[in-house]
Amino acid sequence: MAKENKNYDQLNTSITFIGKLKDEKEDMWSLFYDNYASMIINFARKRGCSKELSEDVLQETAMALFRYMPNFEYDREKGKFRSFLFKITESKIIDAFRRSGKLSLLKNSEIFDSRAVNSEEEFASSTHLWDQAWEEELLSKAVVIVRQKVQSKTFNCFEKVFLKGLTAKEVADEYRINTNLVYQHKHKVFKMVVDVAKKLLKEYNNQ
Amino acid sequence: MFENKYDTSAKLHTTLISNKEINETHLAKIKNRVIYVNTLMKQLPLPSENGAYILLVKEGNPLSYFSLVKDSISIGRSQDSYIPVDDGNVSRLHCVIERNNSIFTISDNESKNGMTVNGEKMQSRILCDGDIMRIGSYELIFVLNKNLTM
Repeated sequence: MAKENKNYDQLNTSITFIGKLKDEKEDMWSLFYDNYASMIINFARKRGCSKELSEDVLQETAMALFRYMPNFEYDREKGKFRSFLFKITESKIIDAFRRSGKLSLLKNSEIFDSRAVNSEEEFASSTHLWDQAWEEELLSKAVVIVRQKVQSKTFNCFEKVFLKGLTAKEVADEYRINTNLVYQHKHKVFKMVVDVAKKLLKEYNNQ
Repeated sequence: MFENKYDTSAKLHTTLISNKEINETHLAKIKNRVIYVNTLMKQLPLPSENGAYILLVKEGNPLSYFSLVKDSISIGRSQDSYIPVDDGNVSRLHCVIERNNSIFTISDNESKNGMTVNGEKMQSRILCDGDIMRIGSYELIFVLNKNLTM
């Protein structure tokens, strides 16, 4: 998935970010959307939403955020922006399942019979999936960044072996390079992805 | 996070696979829709009372909000309609919004020119906050105003 990361540096401080969201500047909304939309979709899918339902969840979450953000008071002690977003998204997922009459398909639906997300059990279950979606989102962003940093052949070796399941020999034959070099490229890119993901995690942890 | 090589490797694999399922075009359309709706709502602020509303828009200009308090809402060219729409391409009773508990469904009433929801021709759709229906030269935007318990 191609994503723009050129505005990444603008997310350095969460207070600045949220302040800009509160100002409802359209470019900041775009930035919010570009940074969180696929994560919201991914989380909704993990919770059991179909593709269509997950897109409804994204639309309603974005609509709600527009509406609630002016009244949102950022407080480091109370929680991060991501927690705030989680609560909105979670409530929209429950709404979406209620509308579709398929509440029973919601993962862990038995603990979501009541509207509020209160008990520790249901909170832990859902936040676990949210955290998973978050980790995957960081990895996804890291891949995009690393792809821009390395030579295309290096990245392709990683992609073909890691994602497409080709053997190192098949890739080596295709590029007419040594098999060991394919492994080196794969490991190099993987390590870079992990390093960038860790860096992003550190940057985002203040949000 | 990301300390276990095998765990991270598996997650990265899942990530790259699931990213292929995400439809970038759909995400862009949703983004544009939300920005458009909120731009209109800045021009004509949503009533402060909680509830569901239809924002009637003509050629990009927000005209008025209609509160969806009844179980059945008629929309059409007829002046008897709950939401009257003065347009020759709109049928007398073009479509209906029905409420079942807090769920709202819009259905085309076998109108001559049909209706689109979020750009796609549809007979019926359970409405989501921010949905845009088009009949004739008018847009009907479904908006929910409700408090979020945080």
